Amino acid sequence: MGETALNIDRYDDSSLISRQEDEDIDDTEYWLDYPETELKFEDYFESVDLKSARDGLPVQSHNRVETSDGNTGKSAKIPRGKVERVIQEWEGEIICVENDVVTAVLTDLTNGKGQADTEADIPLVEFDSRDKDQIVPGSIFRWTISYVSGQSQGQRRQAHIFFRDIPTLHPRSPKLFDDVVWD
Amino acid sequence: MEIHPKSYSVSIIVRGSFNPSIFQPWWLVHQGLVTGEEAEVIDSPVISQKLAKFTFPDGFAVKVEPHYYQISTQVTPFVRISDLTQKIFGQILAETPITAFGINLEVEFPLTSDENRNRLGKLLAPQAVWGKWGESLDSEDLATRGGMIHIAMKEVVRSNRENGYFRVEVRPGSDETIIVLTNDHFDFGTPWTNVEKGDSAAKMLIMRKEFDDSLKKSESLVDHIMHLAQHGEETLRERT
Repeated sequence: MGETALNIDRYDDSSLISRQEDEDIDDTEYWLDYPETELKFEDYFESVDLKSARDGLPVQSHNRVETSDGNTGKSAKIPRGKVERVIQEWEGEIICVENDVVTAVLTDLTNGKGQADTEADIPLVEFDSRDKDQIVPGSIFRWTISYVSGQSQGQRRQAHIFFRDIPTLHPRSPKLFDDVVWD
Repeated sequence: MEIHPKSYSVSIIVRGSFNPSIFQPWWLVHQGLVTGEEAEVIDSPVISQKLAKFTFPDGFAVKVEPHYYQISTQVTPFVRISDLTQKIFGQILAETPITAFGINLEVEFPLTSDENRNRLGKLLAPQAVWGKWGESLDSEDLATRGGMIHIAMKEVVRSNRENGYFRVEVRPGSDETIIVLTNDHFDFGTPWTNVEKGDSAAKMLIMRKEFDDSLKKSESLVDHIMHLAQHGEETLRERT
């Protein structure tokens, strides 16, 4: 059963993206084909209140749900090559750096409840020397242990420390921000 | 024996209005989002007014069109693509009109036998409910056997967003594999109803808060499907 047949069977709004992702076509042709506006079936359905009409209910325009003009799902153009799968992940915050040892508070993101619960001493050599400017108190990092496998190699474990570049976000229109509950 | 995926990819797709020609590898370097070393090894980036497309080897891939932004990665920690997206639309281009974003996981895994493949299809879409026609789908002969080719399930989610859903698709891949795709969709409405719902920084705060939990939920579902593929009904008995 080939992938071509499967794509033909796609039935919904993601078919636009499916074509776009699956066809390796010339950009010029692509832009000629690409519609200016993407209207999802359910947008249309809701915009004309067909459901209410079908159910014999009064058509109420204020019941409309305004949705965006496109889906955000990805079509199945599966990349091949290296496969990494996280088996353990922590978020850490550096407390101090002394005598080639980094002390950090860790939050277990894999099995924990999202609360900082462990203090750990990590040898400085575990960190990438290119990150030396970020190895200071207050820095936030992710520490992952992953299984890595590839087409030509077996499975192996890999540890990786990544310093997060978390921007300071200041929404100017804070309506949505009000709904965000911080831990 | 545990199944080892053949592919494991995480992506973020943002819908809105973008200027693709801004999104150049060296612009990302200039903004401090990637290193010059990473940008130097990019092979054949495509940059135009209507399309930007390039891949950082051992990093992530970017594709931007006037109403579409996609960043995807196979490299851990996956949170990097969320941090990058937040920095771009929450800080550097914080005036960008954003109408929706999605957090996606795609996993392709092999099946250990044709029997398992057939069993998974029947568990997800029982043929009995299709009556007489359903019976005609089954066959001992692989060449004439029919059955499920694609199934999608959608959960309407309102608990942590104004509008959106969580969608899962299961379909066969090539080479005797199964593909599972999840899409956690956060919707902020049409461009003309969107203005009052906050700027892109507000939406990026939601992404920051939800990314890890969303991925965890997707991974849990993928694990369930993989277990179902391998152990069949036993999975359902274990987990009820």
